[in-house]
Amino acid sequence: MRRNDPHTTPVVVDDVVKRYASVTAVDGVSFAVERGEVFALLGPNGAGKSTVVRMLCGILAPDEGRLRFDLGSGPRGAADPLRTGYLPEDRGLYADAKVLPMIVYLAGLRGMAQAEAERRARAWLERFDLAGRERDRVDALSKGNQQKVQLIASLLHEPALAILDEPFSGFDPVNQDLVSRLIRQLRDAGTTVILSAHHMDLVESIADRVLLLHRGREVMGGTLAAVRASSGVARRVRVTLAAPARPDDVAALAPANVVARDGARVLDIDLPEGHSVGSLLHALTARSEVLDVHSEAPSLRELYLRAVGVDPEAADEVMAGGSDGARAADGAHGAGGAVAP
Amino acid sequence: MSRAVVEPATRDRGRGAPPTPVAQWPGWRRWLGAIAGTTLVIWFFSEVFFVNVGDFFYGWSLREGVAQVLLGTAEAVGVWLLFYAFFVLWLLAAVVFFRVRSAWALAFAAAICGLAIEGSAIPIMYQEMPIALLWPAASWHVLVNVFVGWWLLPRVIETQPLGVVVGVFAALGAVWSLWATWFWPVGGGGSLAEHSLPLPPSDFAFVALIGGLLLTAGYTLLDRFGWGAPPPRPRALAAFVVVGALLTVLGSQFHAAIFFALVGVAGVFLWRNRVDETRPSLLAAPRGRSPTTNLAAVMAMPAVAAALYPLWYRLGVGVNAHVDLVVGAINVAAVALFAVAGTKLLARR
Amino acid sequence: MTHWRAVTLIARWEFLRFFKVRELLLTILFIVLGYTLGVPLFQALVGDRAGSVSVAVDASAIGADELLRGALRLLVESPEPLHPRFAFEWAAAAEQPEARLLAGDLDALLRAAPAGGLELVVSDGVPGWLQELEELLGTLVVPLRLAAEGVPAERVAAVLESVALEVTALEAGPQRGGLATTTLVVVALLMAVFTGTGVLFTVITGEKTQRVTEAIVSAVSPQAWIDGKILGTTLFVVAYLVSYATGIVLAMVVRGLFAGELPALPSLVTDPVVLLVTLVAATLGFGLWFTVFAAIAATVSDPTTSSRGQFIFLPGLALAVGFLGNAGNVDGALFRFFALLPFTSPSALPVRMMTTSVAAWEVLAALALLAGSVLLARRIAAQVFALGIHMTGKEPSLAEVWRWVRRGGAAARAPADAFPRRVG
Repeated sequence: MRRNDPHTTPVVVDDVVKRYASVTAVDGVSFAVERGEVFALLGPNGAGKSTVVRMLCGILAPDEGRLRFDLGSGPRGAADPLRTGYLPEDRGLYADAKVLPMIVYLAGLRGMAQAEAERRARAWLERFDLAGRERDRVDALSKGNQQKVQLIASLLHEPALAILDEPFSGFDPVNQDLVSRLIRQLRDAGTTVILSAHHMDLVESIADRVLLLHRGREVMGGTLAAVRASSGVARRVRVTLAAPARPDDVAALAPANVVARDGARVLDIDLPEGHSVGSLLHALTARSEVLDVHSEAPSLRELYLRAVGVDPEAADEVMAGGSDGARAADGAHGAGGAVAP
Repeated sequence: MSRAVVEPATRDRGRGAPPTPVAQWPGWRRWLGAIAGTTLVIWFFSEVFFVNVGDFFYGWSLREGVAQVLLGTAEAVGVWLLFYAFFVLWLLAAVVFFRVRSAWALAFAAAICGLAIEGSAIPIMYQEMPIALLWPAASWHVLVNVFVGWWLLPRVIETQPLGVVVGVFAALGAVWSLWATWFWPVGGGGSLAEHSLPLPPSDFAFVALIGGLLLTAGYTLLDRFGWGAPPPRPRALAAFVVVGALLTVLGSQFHAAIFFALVGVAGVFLWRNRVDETRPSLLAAPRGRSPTTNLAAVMAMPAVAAALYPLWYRLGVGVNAHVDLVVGAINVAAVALFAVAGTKLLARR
Repeated sequence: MTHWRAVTLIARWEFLRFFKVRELLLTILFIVLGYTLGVPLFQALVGDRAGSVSVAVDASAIGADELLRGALRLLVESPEPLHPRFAFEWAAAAEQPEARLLAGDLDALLRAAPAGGLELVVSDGVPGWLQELEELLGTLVVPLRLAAEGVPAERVAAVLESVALEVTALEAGPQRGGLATTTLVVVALLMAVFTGTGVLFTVITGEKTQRVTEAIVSAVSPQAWIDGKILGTTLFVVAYLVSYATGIVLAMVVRGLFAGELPALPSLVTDPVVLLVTLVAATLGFGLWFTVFAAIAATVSDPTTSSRGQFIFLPGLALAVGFLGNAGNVDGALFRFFALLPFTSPSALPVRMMTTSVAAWEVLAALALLAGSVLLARRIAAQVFALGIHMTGKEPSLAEVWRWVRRGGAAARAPADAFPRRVG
């Protein structure tokens, strides 16, 4: 995950640690982001994604480790704010302000001239179907529209590095697709994008490389193909049998990992690399009648859950971030004694 | 880089004659423009803006005839401006020799000018020692004459839109109208009308008009002919220093030693600047041509001053009761400037 | 972007959030209308009519002391009212003056006292104008007593003449301000500082609630942010103060024009240097108090339940010291100390300058101390602000805040600078 070539890696995170009073939110995370790629930090709530993002933006300081940026140094040693765009996880908008002046103000803090910011903001608002809402108060907009406004404010100054924390939050499927297309367009234009999300299915289709976190630690990372390869699972095959499978039948499928469900009538089989679906079916049909077969590449969500040792069928609690780390990290970010001694 | 690169301005010498490109003007004409323009500016802020005592200021009064007005103007031009040209040469020589470009270096070059005004040709500075070394030599003349009058305002005229220029000079006019009350007699109020001092509103308006016209002429000369003057020949510079020193000794006699000592102190700081500064001096650096309307906007100052002065006159509003506070504030600001400037110059590299 | 460019942008935003030109112009208009129309209305309703106190004089009172009889005759039978407040009439017995008194048609009845002298009968309580009436009777009786002692009439005036003093000042001094001017100035400062601290409290706690913090702090340093907030809020209250003062002066001028005579403007307006020093001291004072208050507001978690809102009264208590100038000795050591102490000098110094001569060094020293305090407070406040704005859910204790301040300025530039970071 680490490549230290300054010409291709504008962002390098080296073994960073962030502790709060009762929890370690980030524990030795390292990665490097290549120029012009979409890099996704994934994991459930409380995995430490937002903490990493806040450290990248200079809002928090790591307790250990280093961050390096090759965009040109900012005045505080963090990523240069004039060349970085940041979409916060929590919607950070002035509720009583009008849409256009607020966008222009936030863009001005990123170094844009007022006239140019206003011109571009109008174009962006029109692109996001918000033309005519320039003089509306922010709190008069729906949650989704507010998120759009926040996105516009983050990207208006055409940053070299865009850091987007939960960009799909608050959007319906249509707007989620809009955001996905936007992120692809940013990449095509040469912008380096770091995005943090727990919607793994959305991110799967747009990210060039991913890093999955769990309770502040790295679980797996790399390109999607590499992640899949490292998991050891090439395909997931669900087979429905006419009659329950016998233990001998299941043992004969080794080295594939088999989970039997529904009274052993349904077998979920993780097929490793080098083993074909055809050979699997050949082994099965020799012993029992196969009613249905469904094969697909394992999703990121499934790979992640298996990596953290959770059955995907019973994964709701994990993905909802019910861990102590999540609650402590969210609260500790603002709680008393939040800053480590 | 010559001005022609910025804008090929030309001077039309009349029908039939080809226009003369400004960039090809000889250096001595630029120097003449720089000296004449700077003299008018420094004289204005030293004598007219700081309205000095005198019943009829250089004879500029509507109560006198045209002849008296002309005589007064001739006296101003012939005598006072000649004196001030001598003082201004000290400033310009320091600026070009020590390559003055930053505000910190300008502070010390301006101090030399102020010391020259108060203590070279005429030993005024030595009459109320030691405070006279600071006020007005190294405070008013530095901050108002040079920093505001010669450095800041031409920049405003050159770079700002007309509205801003009018606003700045209107504000200065308001300040001028108030500062003109500094020498009013104690008590103000009803006694004003009985004195020729202070100036009645009509006289003040006349003074403001003529002074304003001369100031506008000064800025025009600087803008059209002055900036971008080439460095003088070393011999010319040396000749001025020798002649200037002789005239100072003649004018101030043994007090001249104080003058030279103080110039020497300023010279120490300026020499550090000369060693470190690589850019051309403020005078030699080329500038853009100011819009004519901006130059005309300088007249907003006498207009506003003349409009407001009668109000203070009638209401008895004035700064005469607090002159020491204003002087004190300017002195404190000047000391702070020299402290910061000296530190900056000594700390460079 | 330079620090001061960011500060300017933030200050402009904060200023424009609250400064509404239309509302201020309307306020000035209301002040002018209110003063122009309200003052004569008030006078007409309350004090314009001669004799707001009606006193009936019983015939029995005439039978009293001869001198008093003469005074009473003067009071009742004088063609012009001798006092704007009292109206006298003879009480007719048939009209039953006591019944009229109880019915409210009369305010008082003067009659002979049983033991001699005069008795004042009222419906209830001791009236507030009793002393005024006694003084009125006294001024009428004294010349009569002198005449009865044989003092010729032409000597009576000389005997009663007060001593007039001619004033000569050795040096030009400021025009002295009256009680009204100094009180108005202190009241205006209090209004402005309460407005500013209220605005800051609402804005900063609101930004924490609305999570605006992250978006801003990722772009600019906390020092720039707090500097911009203080500057914008200070400019807002100064503009608000100036426009109210303009409204009052305009109102006085307009009313004067209607009355046919320009009013005597307060000395604060006619002495430009005092006005300038007042404005500078007020601006610096607002800067100082708002800086302190911004740091306090940043540590507030829930504005509806936090006890730290009570600190909003602190600046008011400090600036109220200016009222002491009316009651006490402005040249005394204590008040001179208040005029130098940065937290109280924004009000005490202008009051001193309006009421007495203040040496130039005192003014310059006070302003320099104020400016220095603002710079120091700014640094400290930024450290508290930098950490406090991130805290939600719990308010840091004072010990914790002190620890932050002792840790130094790194946090004010950004938390990140507190730790090793290589930029490459």
